[in-house]
Amino acid sequence: MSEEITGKTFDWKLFKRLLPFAKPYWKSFLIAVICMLTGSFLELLGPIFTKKAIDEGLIQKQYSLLPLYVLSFLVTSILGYSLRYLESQISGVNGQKIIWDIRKKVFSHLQFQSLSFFDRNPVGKLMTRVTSDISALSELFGAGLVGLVGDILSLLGVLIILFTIDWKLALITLFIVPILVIVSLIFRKHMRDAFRKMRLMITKTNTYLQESITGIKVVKLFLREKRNRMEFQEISEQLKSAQLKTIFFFALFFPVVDILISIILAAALLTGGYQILYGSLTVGALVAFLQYAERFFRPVRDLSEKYNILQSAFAGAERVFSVLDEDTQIYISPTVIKNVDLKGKVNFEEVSFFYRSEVEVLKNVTFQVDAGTKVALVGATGAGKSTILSLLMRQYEVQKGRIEIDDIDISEYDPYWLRTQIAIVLQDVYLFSDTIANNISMGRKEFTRRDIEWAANEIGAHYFIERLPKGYETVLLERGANLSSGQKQLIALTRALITQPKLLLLDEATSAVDTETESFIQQGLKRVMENRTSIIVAHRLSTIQNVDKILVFHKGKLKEQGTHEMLLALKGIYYHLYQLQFEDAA
Amino acid sequence: MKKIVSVFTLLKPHKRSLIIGLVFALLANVFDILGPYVLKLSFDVFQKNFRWNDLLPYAVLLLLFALIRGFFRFKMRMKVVGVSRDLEFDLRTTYFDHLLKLPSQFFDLNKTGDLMNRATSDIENVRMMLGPALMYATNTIVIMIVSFSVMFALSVELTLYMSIILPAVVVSVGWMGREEFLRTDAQQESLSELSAAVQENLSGIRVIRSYSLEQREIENLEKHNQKFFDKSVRLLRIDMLFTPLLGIIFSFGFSIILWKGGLLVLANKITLGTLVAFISYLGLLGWPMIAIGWVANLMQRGLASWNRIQNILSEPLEKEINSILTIQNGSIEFKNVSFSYNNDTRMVLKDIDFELPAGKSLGILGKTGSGKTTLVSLIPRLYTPTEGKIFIDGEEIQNYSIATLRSSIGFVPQEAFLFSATIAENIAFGKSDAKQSEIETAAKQSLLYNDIEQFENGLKTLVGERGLTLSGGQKQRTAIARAFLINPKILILDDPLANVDTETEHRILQYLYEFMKKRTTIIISHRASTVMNCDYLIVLDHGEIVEQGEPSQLIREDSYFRKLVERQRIAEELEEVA
Repeated sequence: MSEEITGKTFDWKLFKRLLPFAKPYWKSFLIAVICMLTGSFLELLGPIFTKKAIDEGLIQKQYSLLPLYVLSFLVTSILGYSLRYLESQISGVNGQKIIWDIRKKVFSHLQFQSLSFFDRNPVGKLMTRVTSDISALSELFGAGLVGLVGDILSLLGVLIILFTIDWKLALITLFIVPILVIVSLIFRKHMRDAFRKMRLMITKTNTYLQESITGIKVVKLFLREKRNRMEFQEISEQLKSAQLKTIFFFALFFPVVDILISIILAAALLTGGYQILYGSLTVGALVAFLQYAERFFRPVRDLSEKYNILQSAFAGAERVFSVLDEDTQIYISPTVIKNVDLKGKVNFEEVSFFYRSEVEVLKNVTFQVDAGTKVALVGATGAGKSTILSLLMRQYEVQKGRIEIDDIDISEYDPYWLRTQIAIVLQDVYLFSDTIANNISMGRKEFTRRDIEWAANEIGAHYFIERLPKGYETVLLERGANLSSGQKQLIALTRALITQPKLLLLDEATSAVDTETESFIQQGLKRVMENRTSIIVAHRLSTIQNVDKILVFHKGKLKEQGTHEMLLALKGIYYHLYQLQFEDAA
Repeated sequence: MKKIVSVFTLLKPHKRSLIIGLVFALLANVFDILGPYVLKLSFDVFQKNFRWNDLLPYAVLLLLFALIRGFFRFKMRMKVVGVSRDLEFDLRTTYFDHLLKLPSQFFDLNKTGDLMNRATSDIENVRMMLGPALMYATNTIVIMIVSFSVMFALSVELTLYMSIILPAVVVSVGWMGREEFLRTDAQQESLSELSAAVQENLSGIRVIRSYSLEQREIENLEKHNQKFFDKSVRLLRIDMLFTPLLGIIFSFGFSIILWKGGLLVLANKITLGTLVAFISYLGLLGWPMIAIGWVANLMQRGLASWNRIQNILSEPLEKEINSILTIQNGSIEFKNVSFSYNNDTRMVLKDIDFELPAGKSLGILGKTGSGKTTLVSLIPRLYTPTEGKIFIDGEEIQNYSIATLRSSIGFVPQEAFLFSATIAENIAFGKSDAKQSEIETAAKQSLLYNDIEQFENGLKTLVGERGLTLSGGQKQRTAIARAFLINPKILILDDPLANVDTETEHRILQYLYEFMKKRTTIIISHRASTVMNCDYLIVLDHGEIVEQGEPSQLIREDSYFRKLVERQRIAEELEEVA
């Protein structure tokens, strides 16, 4: 998703992409347009009734007509305003519905992106897309679209009237139109650039703010308040200057248009006057012409007033589309396999993988995990162990080699179904601000409270959960801030256990738990792992006592594999790791 | 009315620019009114015998006025909208400053998405209130004053008739204003909830992915979308009512004038000319009347948002005192310290009492949730004890300035937090003027350097939000390097090696012991091996110290520590025979 200012895309292209979102609501749009046109028409009637009240009622002294015209005026204006209100309601609701649709679309799109997408795009940036960038579109779809249609129709109407009054004058008036278009185009380019720059700075500001809030404790501990304040001030300063630039163009545009229109009015006045002198035009016709000419340019002026809304809407749209355009969804084969009974055999065949065309994280890795066995992945940090788990979940696609489950390439499975068959416990436990029960069942209705408590009991989490003031109904703070990391870990384990997965993946899951809690978990896991393929990333040897096979990784390569005794006898990397652990405890 | 007073204090620094801007607004309006008047005058020329030359001055005036009002309008926008952007800047930086100074507990209780939302849409609403709304209000007031005085001069009686509608205007603006205020608040609230939901989803995307919960998340967002939609439409109902309702009220006024004025003309009380003039000025009033609604609207929105920002700005700051006391040695003492989060009745720490002489090290052991992290968080005053006192160098920690206190403490939190910046910037987080060599040394001491060397850009490698491209162990080592770099008197490590493999742990510990020699150190761990070489040990259970002493002494007793060591040894023996 490029943050750069391209200035290449035309509004029209964006507009064409936006239109399909409005399509489902075209009927109500039509009704809104009709309401608006009828409303405007009734508004035009007002002055006519006033004129008649004065001319016929007062000047011609037809007393009885006075109340009639006054009443007509009142009724038409009440009707006119009511129709306008109706129009604004229909348009507004449409606008809200459309941004709802867009938000849903963007959000859904994000849900299915590959993890590499999230590695590239910070949360703050994506947040802005889903919230404020989309909100910027609501006015465009609300009042904007209906207004645009209304403006175009009234422009056409007035133009016809102008030509019927005097075609020569009408042509003079039209002469200014190309100039207006050119001026608008020049301004449009500058304004687009300025607006895009501004939105870019808004995102930067928000990302900075967001990070400072999330990392507030580190900020405080390292006394970064002053410096963060300075940095934020600097970013805000840049945002401000970007904003001021938009004001400049916006402030300039309106007067320029106004002056252009005045030139035409003055020209029409002089030419019309000339024609009157030579008798080819009546005074009444010129007066009417000038009044209608003013009316002709009114939408053009309004348009410049609406420019602000339009510009931020298009800038927002561009950024929203840039999210939608970056599609990193994993490939799903048309003949997907799902709902089969997995045994849980895993094969890696010459798998190589890198995250972003940098260093290879995995190099030619080949191994097999038999169904129902337990395998431990061992190695220094950064050896590529966690990557193996991500690849198995199909969070990323491999660049070379094959990964198979039950002798079938994993790309042939429905990835979403496959993930329901695998349970993973990650290093960073992520909890949602919801009840503990929901954090365990992840909101899936098929799990009853009994299932939840059963799983918690197995893991040894039941004990501490019950001691909480509201037990399983305790609502966690954002990121589970009211729990210790050990407690979070226990919940994550319970969460994994409840699904009764075919394949269990543990990534250093027990490392943040104290030894006593760990033995709790070890017992629970031991039972879960029975008849279930389990792949464990482990740093401590105590974790891997019970495994069938140990795979030793070093710098992305699989260096040694075998049982504990075999590996010790090998006196290689594993032996080395083991010795160190032994020394520490001695 | 306190709210309005405080919101206008924001304007004070920009008073001059604002007044200039509003003067421009006034002038722009005067020429705005004059423009159509020139056109009308030129029509009058047609009524008489005229020469073509007679038209010329009008054409020139038409252009001239367009130029002049264009100039003023341009100036007005630049000034007033510029001021509003200045205000936005002030408000945003003030808000951010304030956030930085709030105590940690505040952030435990408030969602990031919500705090973000106040910084974005609420600040925008306040800006709209103090910039554009003020500008339109000035326009309105100018036109109203001019029109009303002219109307009053034309006919007192008709002006009085006109004022019949004033109560209706006042009542409806008041009612709609209140509604608008409430509904805006409700809408913003649901937007906050929506933002928070999106934020949580995106931050937890890995978990969601792992459990194939995408569909459920989409449904969950739909609930928030629905609510936001409902609240937005509710707001729309009142928001869009301002203009038509005031328009209708105004039409009643207009009708009364037309009817009553007509009767007065017929009764020869006023001339027809007066009525026509009166009506044309009345017409001038139409737009400002409607603008009142719009302005009131923006005002209400702005006030609702200001209220929400004010709620944060009025949060009490972290207590800071000016103190010249410095930390020389770094001895730590806890005296009967108890603690509970946010006035919760449940005590997380109970009666903690220990002394740690300067330069010595303390290991803290204990089960998950026993209060270890909370205990060390009290030392740099991330939280304040509910009861009891903490001393450093014999002086209560409240008597040091926070800056002195925290700059003397190198703290490695349990979860390493990395910022979207280079690795070097992340290491030098506590000392931004650190030299390259210092950063390298710190990276070497924490054994991060070898890893970094493998990256193409070395120390200049950017780490993504929360350091996503680094492994857990690398993140932790960055955090350790960060603490080393500030060369602290006191070092606090909260389970720093949890995500590090045995080999790296072993090597880091060697450096660590070297580093610890001259400093007071507290290490939290769940491994006996990590704290084996500490001078003292504390074992916590349910927030209480259940064991304390030297490792050599504790190991001789029937202690938790001894069990821990034994369990670990058994495990290793098992492996030996396995």
